[in-house]
Amino acid sequence: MKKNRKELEVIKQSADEASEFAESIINTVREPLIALDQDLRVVTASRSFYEFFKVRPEETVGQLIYDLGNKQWDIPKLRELLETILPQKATFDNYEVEHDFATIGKRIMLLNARQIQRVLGKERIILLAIEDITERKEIENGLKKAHEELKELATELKRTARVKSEFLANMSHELRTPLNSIIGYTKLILNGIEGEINDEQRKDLQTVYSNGKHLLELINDLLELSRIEAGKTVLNYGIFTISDLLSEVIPVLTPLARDKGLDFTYSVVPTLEHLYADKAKTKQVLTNILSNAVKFTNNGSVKLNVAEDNNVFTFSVTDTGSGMKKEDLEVIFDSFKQVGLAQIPGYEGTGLGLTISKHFIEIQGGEIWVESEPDKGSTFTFTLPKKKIANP
Amino acid sequence: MEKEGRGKKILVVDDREDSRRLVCKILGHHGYEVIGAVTGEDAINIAQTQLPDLILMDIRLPGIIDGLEATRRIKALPKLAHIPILAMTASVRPEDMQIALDSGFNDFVRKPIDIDELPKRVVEHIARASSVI
Repeated sequence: MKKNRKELEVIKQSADEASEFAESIINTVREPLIALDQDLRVVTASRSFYEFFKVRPEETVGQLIYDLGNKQWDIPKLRELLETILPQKATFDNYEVEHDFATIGKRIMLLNARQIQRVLGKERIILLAIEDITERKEIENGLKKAHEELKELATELKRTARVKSEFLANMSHELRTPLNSIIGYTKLILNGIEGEINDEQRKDLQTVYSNGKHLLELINDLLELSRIEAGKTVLNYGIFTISDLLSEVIPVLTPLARDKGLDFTYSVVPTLEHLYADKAKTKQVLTNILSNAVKFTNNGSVKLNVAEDNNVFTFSVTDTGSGMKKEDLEVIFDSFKQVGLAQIPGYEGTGLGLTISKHFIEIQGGEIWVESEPDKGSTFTFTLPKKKIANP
Repeated sequence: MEKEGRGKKILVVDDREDSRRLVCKILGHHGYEVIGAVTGEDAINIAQTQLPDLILMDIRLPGIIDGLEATRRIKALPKLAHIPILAMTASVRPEDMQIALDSGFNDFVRKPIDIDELPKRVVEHIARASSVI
């Protein structure tokens, strides 16, 4: 008997130890954990359970789970899990339950349920681990919504860009039609087709003509810019030499520089290599920065330098003009930013030339930049990458 | 000086009177005989009776037969198919240029018309057409 009692005590002791061990594991787990008996009454719950659901142990243990917190736990989905699913399946993970609790508000939870059959007796124990995913869900839903909104916005932006581009193309057509008469008839008289005109009349007509041309240039640039914005720039790659390019640009610039008494020189490193680029667009860029240099230089020189290394061709145009302030340099490639134009009468541009140039160089994989200081002139440089030609 | 347009006949089709008159004056100055037409229907009829050496045609014309359709119909007539037809257009859309070429236009000139360039293009196309025959 004595021996038996002693053995019994040892067994009880180890049972207490096991129970304590289990309790401490339960209390260590951060997720709320609750154990139910066969009749769905609470056997025990973790500390995190009491903390999370703001309930006290004395009003919890021994209670039917649905009755917890003034029957706040009478949740149809929980009933379904405990009464329908679990009797058929011992384990069920990630069972999502959404419920509005009076004490802690609306929560979305993931339940992991384990049904444990006890070795002795027929009683079973149900372990429920509860993961609160309310915030994660909110973030997910927020992201999803933001993503959908962004998608809608992108579609709308594309549509707007297309409508704008269509509108500009139509407007450009409508504007060109009257310009056809303004420019055409003026030139007709200037060319002497309608008879002799005197110098004063010629000067006046020349003004009408050059303003008409300027308006045309503005329309062309606007249309080009809208095409750029709509992502509709088409590159026509071709093979050509530096001298091909210069022979089309230099003759246009030479008289402009001569008229202003500027010294226009160019130095080109002799090269046998061909460029593989969009010739028309490259020509437009080179003409643009050279004519800008001539426009903004009143005395001194404009120099064009073409060099190459293993990877790129480099074109730079250096002038002895008025130069630019640091804050002007930052915006010079933006649309409609002309620097210091107000002081120079007669030198109207469209304010779009450099914006278009930058785009034309960048879509060909090159770079364009400017170095300048007030009263020390400016250097505009652009590069074009050497491209491997498949079939030269 | 002998003018290059002497004895050559050009049909100019444009619904705008000022545009038509401008082209007539430019080409008239170079010695061409210039006939004007306002609609696509007129253009087809006049082309058949006058047999011009070249036709300048605005793409946008009023009525059912626009410049594209008029060109298709003229190019379908064996008697007229050889006549070079140049499109005159204020559009700069590459897709419009392609449609024009697909409709049978031989080439296009842009509006505003460059009055120094136009006579050169006309000479070039008449020469090309006569060398083919």
